[in-house]
Amino acid sequence: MMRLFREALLNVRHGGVVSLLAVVIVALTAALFSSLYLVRNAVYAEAAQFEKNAGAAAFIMDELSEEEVKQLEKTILAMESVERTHIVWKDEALQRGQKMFGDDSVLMLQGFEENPFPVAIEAFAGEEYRNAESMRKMAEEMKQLEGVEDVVFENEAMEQLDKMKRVAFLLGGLIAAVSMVVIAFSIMLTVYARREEIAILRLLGATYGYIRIPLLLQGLLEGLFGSGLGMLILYGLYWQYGASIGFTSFLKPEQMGIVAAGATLVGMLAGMAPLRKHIRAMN
Amino acid sequence: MHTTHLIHNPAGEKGVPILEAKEVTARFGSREAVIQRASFTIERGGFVFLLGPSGSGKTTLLRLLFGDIRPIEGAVFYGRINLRNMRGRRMAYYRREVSFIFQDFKLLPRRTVFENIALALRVTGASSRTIREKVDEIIPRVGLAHRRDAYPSEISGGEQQRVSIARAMVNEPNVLLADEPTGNLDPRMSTEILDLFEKFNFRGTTVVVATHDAAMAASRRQPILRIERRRVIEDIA
Repeated sequence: MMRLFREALLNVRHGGVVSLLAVVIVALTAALFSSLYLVRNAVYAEAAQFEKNAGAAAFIMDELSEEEVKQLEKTILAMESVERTHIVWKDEALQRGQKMFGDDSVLMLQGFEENPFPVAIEAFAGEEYRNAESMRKMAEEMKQLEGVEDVVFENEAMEQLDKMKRVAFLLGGLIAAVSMVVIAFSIMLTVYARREEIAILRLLGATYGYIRIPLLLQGLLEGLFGSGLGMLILYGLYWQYGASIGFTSFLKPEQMGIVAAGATLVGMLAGMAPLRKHIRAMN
Repeated sequence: MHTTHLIHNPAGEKGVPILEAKEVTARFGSREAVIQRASFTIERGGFVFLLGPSGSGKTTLLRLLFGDIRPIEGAVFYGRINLRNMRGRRMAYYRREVSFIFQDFKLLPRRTVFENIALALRVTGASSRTIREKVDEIIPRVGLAHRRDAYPSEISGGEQQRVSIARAMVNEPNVLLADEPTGNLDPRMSTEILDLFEKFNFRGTTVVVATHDAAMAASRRQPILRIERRRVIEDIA
């Protein structure tokens, strides 16, 4: 195995400029892909913060006693999509209103003899239900309950968030595909550049494995070197400018692992692909 | 180093067929047959010239013997093994026992003389020490001691030819197939190369040299296989 690794390293060295270019292209592609991963992380972190408080508020009819409200809260909490609840009694609702409307609240409350804010039960969705569709279902279910006058939730914001996530997913997929193609082609080129040498090896009596395994390892090494270099470049940029553009953390180790493993795997497969026909045709 | 032998070639066991063509018809890069119904035998330890004008099918015949192309009819045998049945690993082993010297040398430009010769041993899995010993032993025999670390672009055509001969001979093959090995060389260099082949032949290697030079072939008093109008004629000198 050591001999094959040595052979693969020699291949990279003999590849000269073509190998160097391949490693640089893999590095830049990995850096670009990782930077988008970083952006995605930041967006998801913001979204998670918003989603954590995703919920619906059920306004309760004035006629219900305190005991009945508490009973209603239990019913809502028992719903599958609800993770936790909170009763906003009339006093707290008034305080929130005053806080929200500031000085205008005095004007707003003029003419009311009593606190006009209704009691509300806030229901917060469980992690897997924090999307527009599940939230709508949850709100409808709450609306059916006896004693509930109306239910509101941030429908539009949730839909926007869902849309944003879908776009990020599709864009990420597209960029991942483009990255894979770029990495694959650049490594295929390094192997293609060695086609004459491979033909000579074949004529000198090299076995299938002797030709193929170093090619596979060459792709692996170029993918590994390239992705490592790419992440090093990105880390340098992050270290220099990350804080100023609002990033608070670099890629997680497992995410770096995904990028490196992806580039290495694609590199390995690409290292074999261009010569499959030649090697297979070997008599 | 891989030591599996498809056939054994003990020194001194002469007169036994090592390569045999039976009713072979072949074409290469054309619709028409280049070689038609050729039958001949090359004996173990022999030295044979394959004579014919340019384009007569000498390279096709050598490549048939090398297993690089397959006949459309007939069969080529290495000892008792039909080359048609040889594939994959066995074909790789065959090519370690039957070496080929190409008209265009086929040297790797980014490797030194030493590394180019070593390649033939490296593919067999030989250890670094064995490679060093064997390559350093053959380099002076082909007169390249002073060119050991030179690149192909830094040496003459004759020297490049000698590198390709050394590469073909370094793992001591049973058979050496040489395609116009003196084609681009001056008469003095051609004589040197043929002398070298005779030395290898004396040590037990069967040598087949393809050439268009009838005078040169005749001067060596060795058996000749003549290619005439797609037929192969055995012409014992």
